Amino acid sequence: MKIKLLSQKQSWAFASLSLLVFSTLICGSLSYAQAPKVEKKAQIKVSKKETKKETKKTSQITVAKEAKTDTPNGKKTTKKTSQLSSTKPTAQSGESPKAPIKDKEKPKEKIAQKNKKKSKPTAKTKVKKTKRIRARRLGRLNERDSAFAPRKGSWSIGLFNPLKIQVNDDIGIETHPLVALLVAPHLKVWQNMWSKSAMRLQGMYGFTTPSWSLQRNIPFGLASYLSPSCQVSEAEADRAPSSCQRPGFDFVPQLGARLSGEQHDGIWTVEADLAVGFMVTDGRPAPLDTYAPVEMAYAPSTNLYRGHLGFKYAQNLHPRFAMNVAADLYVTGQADAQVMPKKEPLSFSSQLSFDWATSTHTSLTFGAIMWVSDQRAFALIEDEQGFVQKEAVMSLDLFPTIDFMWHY
Amino acid sequence: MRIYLVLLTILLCIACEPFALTAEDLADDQPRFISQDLSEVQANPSELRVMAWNVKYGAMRMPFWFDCWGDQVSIPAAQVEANMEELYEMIREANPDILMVEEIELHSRRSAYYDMIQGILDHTDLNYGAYYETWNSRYIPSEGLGRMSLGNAIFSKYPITKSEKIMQADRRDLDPVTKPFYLHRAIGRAEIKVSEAQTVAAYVVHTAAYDQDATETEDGTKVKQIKQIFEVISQEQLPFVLGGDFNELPPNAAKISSFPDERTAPVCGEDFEQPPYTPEIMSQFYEALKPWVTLERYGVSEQEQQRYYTHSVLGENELNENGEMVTWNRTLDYLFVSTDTDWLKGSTDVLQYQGQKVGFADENGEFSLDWTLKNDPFSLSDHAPVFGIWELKP
Repeated sequence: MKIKLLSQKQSWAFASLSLLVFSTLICGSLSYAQAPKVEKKAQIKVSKKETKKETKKTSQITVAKEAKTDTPNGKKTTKKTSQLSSTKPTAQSGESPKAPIKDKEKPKEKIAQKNKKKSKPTAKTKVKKTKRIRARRLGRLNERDSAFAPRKGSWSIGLFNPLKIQVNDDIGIETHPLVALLVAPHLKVWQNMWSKSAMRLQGMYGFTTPSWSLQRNIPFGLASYLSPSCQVSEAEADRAPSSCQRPGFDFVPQLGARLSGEQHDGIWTVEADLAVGFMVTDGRPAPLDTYAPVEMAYAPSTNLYRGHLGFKYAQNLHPRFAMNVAADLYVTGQADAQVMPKKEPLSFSSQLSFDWATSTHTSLTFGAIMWVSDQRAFALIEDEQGFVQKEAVMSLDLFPTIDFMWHY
Repeated sequence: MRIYLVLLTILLCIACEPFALTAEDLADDQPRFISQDLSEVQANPSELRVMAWNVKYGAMRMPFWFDCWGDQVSIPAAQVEANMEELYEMIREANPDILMVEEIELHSRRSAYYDMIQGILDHTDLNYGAYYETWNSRYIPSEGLGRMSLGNAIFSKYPITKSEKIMQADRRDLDPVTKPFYLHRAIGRAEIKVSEAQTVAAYVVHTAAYDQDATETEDGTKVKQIKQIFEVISQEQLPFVLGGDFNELPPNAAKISSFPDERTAPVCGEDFEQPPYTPEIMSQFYEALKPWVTLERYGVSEQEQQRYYTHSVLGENELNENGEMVTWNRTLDYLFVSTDTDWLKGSTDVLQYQGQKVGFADENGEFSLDWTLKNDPFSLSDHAPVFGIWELKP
């Protein structure tokens, strides 16, 4: 009647359809990656013949290729290049302090040094050098949120994206300072666990405390918006003390992993994580039954746990432009049946976004995300006689995503 | 690839649910419900038992935050079911043929998404229901209120053949952020076919309570709404009954301010302050229609009138700011019928307390109704039901 939403079955069918559409987009992007064959050949040549890097390749593509070269001699190759470009080696290049150095690479190094001496610094090579430095600082665009860790000491932050700091070659931490300070303390630690050829595996350990934000008023919480302000109980402690329905404090440990691999100029990532909410004091908050991103953030507290399985593919379309597609499936527990009736535990999201490196240290990301989730929407289904019955339906939302990010 | 994106965007935009329904959206919607098990009804009735009741969304006497005497924002699912069972019991006892209900919820987070419309139909002898939604918000980010589907309803044992909603003026004193999430008052009208030969109309109303938008040149929202109600019923061609919560005092009310359950300490801010009552606006209904309690019967003193009070914010175990127990302390709920019909003598009353003898005695001291209240309305809602037997052919 009033709310023309899809039924649950229709919603899942639509979610499957959208997954299909995004799969098609991935195929399209793969096709795009294969299209510029001349450039691809040049890249292969570069990887085999280090000595010709400086003169035959486009600088950023070369740097990108260097970064992802993961051969046993990777360390030496990168080191040499870094000398040329006056930048430090990156963590994402796959080099490891323990990586063996093969003797047969030494002649190549000598040739490269010779070539360097022979080549005269022209305006063109200066531009290439600048571009290479820029690319190193930003990292490859398609590595964002993948298991390919950025270089040691690098960090990035967005208006909405969290602060990410690569502490050392293996450990990176992630938190959103404003959210942590004003809403709920939280932290994620990413640790490199395994690498082979063009694949990386990271483990994730973290914690969050979503219900803290329901305890405190603005500016250090969201009580009075998402939860009761309890003005009467605070002003008159003996009046209706049990009517204040503020939840207790919680602690939500998180555990997860993500596996990334490289194919052509794209990076795929599969990730899974689980967050379980433990109430430290008082009662568990009732589900908010609101917009899916907010609901998912509070789910471990309100619904006991939140499991997540995600897939992402990021394709560099240009040295300064990348496309990302992602699909995520969430499963949450049920609230106490005495408090709220059961609802659909599965939620689904799919996302399409683009990253644009706007300068040496900045990038813009924009796109859209679609969510299918049970937000307690309902429809009144009319029978032949014109009488209606209430029926639960899934909510379907499309949100724009935009962020401006800084990388150092 | 572009066509995929365009198609996807179009599909998603179509499917997205709005933040809240506007008055225009709500105007088009008058769903009718039917009981799963129809009860038998008397054929060709000459009189109908009618009742109007503001049921406070099944919260009974829970101290909800907006009354500013407590902080509760939602009722646990199990508690809603238990509360509704008590409301059903009250309705079964009154056994109305037509019931007009205000503040009833179809699918709200605060009442655990309990379907009160179908609930009343399936737990009483009422067979048909018409729902007039006045508040539909996807998520109200205030005190964690969340999703809201609240409105008024008309229930009947006899078929509701037509249902329509007449939208009322919105408050003008709301800020632009609050306004889209706020409720839109409406008059509900149902045509009820009581026999092959006769159809009657029933109206349910619930006017604004907290508007502060009256100016020297323009009426406040509640006054506008009450005037509109009178205009609408003045054009009615069928015999009709009008019932509901007018949020206004009778024209001869002895007490019009300083009620014992009002807040004087600014605990909850200014949002909870009520504008001054304007009882004179109700005169037109008493003059043009037949009230269930006449002004003569209502009396002139507080002592006389308290017998017909229908509202108290505080319940039996709650104390006011002075530490006093409070009881029903003002009349806000009414029943009127058209002048071509009448009330059965001695049948009308306000259902206030358990053990109350319903109706009033004639000159010989005899009651036309043999009914002593078993349920306790004072514990069931912050409004008392108003009841009467409507004579269709006096």
